[in-house]
Amino acid sequence: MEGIRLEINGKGYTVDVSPYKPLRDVLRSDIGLTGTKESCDSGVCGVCTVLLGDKAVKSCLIPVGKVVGEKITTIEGLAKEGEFSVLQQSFIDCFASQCGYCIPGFIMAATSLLIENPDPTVQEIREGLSGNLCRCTGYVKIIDAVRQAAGKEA
Amino acid sequence: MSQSSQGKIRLDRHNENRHVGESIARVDAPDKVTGKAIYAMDINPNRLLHAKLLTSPVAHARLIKVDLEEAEKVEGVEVIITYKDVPDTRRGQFILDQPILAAEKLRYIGEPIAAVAAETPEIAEKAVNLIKLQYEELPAVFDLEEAFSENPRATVHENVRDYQFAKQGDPRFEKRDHVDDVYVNRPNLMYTDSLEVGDVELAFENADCVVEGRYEVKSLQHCSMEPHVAVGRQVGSTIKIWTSQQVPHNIETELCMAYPELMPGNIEIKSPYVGGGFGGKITPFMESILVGILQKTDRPVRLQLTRAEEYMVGVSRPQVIVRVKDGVTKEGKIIARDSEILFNVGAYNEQVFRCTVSGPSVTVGSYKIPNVRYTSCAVYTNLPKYAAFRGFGKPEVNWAMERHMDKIARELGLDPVEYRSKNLLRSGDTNAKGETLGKIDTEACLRKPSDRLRSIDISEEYPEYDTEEWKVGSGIAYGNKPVSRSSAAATIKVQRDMNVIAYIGAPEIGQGAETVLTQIIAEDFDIELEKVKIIAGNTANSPYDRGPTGSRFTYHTGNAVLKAIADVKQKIFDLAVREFDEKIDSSDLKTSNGKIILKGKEKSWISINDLFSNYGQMVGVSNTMLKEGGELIGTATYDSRKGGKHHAFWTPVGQAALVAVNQITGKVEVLRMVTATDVGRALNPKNVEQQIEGATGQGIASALYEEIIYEKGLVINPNFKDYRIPGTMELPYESETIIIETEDEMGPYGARGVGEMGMIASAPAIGNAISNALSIEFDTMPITPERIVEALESQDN
Repeated sequence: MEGIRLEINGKGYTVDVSPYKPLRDVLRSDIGLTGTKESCDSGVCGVCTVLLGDKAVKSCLIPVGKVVGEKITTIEGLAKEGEFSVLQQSFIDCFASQCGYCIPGFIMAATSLLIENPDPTVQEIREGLSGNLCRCTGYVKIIDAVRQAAGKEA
Repeated sequence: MSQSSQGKIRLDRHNENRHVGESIARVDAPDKVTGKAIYAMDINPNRLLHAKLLTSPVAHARLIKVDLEEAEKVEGVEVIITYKDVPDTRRGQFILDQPILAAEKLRYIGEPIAAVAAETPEIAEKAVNLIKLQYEELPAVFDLEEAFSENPRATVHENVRDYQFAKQGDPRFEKRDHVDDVYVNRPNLMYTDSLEVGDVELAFENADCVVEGRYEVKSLQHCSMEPHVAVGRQVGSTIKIWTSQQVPHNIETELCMAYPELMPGNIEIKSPYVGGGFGGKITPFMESILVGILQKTDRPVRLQLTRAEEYMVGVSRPQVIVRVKDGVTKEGKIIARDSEILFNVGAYNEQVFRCTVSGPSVTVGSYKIPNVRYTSCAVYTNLPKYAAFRGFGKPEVNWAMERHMDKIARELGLDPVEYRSKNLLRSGDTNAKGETLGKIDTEACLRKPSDRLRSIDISEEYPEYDTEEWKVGSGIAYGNKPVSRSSAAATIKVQRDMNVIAYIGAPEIGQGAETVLTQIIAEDFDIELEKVKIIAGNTANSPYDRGPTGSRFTYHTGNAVLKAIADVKQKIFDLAVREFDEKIDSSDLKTSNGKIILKGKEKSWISINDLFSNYGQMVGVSNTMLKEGGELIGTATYDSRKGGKHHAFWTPVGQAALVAVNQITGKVEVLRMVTATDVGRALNPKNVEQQIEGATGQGIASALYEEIIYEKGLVINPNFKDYRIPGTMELPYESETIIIETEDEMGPYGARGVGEMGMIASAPAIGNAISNALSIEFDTMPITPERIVEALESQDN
């Protein structure tokens, strides 16, 4: 078996797994990047959100064989040289995380949202993050964090 | 240090706090935004086995045989256990009714019967499917009121009256009869708790107006984003378990009861960061099975619930039915209240016992009512198990009480705030249970949310709802939430350069425990926040803590930390007096920024490092070793149970909701929520807001969206598609928190607990707002679009 070649956070990996294995499970079990979480197993909750290029996807729904040649970014790939990304910093500043289990997924979805729409309204943020669920926060401070990252007063 | 002198010191310092009272960034946030935070779900040791459960396919049956023959032949299967492989013990919180694995009877769909550990989850699943069951099905009872009757079609536990009580030492639970005499003929009744004060019947006769109501709360799921997971390994005689549970010491204690041969030293429970709990992660319903597997293999094993299993094998919030009757004078004074509360236990008692005992407190705790009676009943059914959900039964009971208050206010033609105010228990008042309230501003909590809503020009702010199709309404609700007495301990170690480590029994489950304790410790030692390290949630190195439950953590563990600091400071000062040239007493010293300073003579000081041995020059001298040997360790317990039978404190909360209801689709938009709560002192105001916003969101979810649907005992919506927890589009961005601070006399730096408060009155506030909008009373929650459309249609007819 040849192995599947992946590019994750700018680094190359070869994994010896079935091409049908969900990307989430490859990231967590085979590569050891556990910042991408698992929760609902049905593509609803968004805790497993990663970026393919600039696009946010739910990695539990994607067979690993489908992402060969794509640039995959996980939560571990956002901080550069020890500096938090703008969104990571705003999530800290705005008290957006509580238990934190859903937060990597929210930050990945928000990263994609701000690439697509750098100046979103509150309503656009709510719509853009509607594929992610959080049980702790009530979302108020998550929306604040995205507003702050977009240069708006939170 | 005595408790009273602690209080005095705190009051003296109030205005000079350096860390306490500031919204410092959460200490766990950097790890949580970078994916570095480790949860039990992320523990993935080498040679891991994966366990799966065989669960009951029927709601009620006599179990005849569990045939493992075919399953054992599957390649890759390492261990299979059934009831024959585990001790024949019963566990539960207070009432011990639950076997580790089903033995003679099956009592709900989802009850674990066997567990298979194999090389992969798929192999384990395959083997589970090959286990053959023989059973004789029995009639089952699902309806709560039928189960409560004297002649239900099924008896879930034939020998319930013989079940043992766990000795938990809580004075409220000294009663040792399962049920009051009048209820003795109800076979599914697990437990009753009752109160009678004054002459209720006479008061009803004297009342100008008597109003009765029946209210119902459907069951819902905790839906922690991290599912239940436990990963364990037996090493020699020690069993080590990493778990997503929120109270590691409780897991340890209950496991030692379930496995009598296990001593506390043989078992280590570690909860790393917990991905949400809300009361659903308190009891060892998984760990008790995992231990049975671990005893049969030296390999590590993971037992993890799927999302569907969360609803069936895991625990959920109970269905509750409340009947209440209030007698009121024409001036609007409540003179009598009589209520009967039914809690659905499900098939086994995980924590509904506790809900049954503590839930009714909101019937007596909010208002001054001289004649009160209640009976609170825990009733078995053949449904999956229930447990506390952020409030131990109080949000459910308060739904009934606060809907009822609004109905009576309408009947009397009184404003809902004024009616409540006429009856409000205030600071210094004594409630029907004989508890006198400490310093809390109940009036401000009641009034401020509706004052805030009144300041909003609705037609200007929300013009899109100014149509025939939508109706806008507002509502308020109030609750005074007691927090039970309990104990917590803390150990504090001081190292060179005044680095402080705190060993805490409770894990960080999202509530901000590590952050507020860091603030308290840095404040009391007068050091930078970065000097403090919290090691939490590990029974192997942490002293006992009742855990992050029931809004108790900051108050109890915060006080334990303050006492432990006082203990270690005394040790520091006793050693330090020898280092000063002049003759001084240890009470003359204080510490600040790593210096030990003679009070009043700021230039006379030594460094904390002067107490330590010559670090770095000799191999084997530790960072923590003192010149004369030993370490600087302080330890203490804060046990509020010594204060007697009554609660540790009460936190009042008022909530107001502004809603728009679509008269065609039945859709409800929550436009705005306002919550006011008297937190004593906000040690970290943004952290307080987090707790309020989150709990309020869950309250909205319970009021409008969430309901587990059963069909003959089977959960038919056990996933996030069919059981929709609200997202960013459903919960309001406008959720405001008004923090009121009347310092608590005993709380650390004046703080009270706040974790559950947003849940106490949010659902009835929304229910009252919908009734206000439509002039229709909704007595059952959730108030789904279907229930609204149905009510609108029956009104038209």
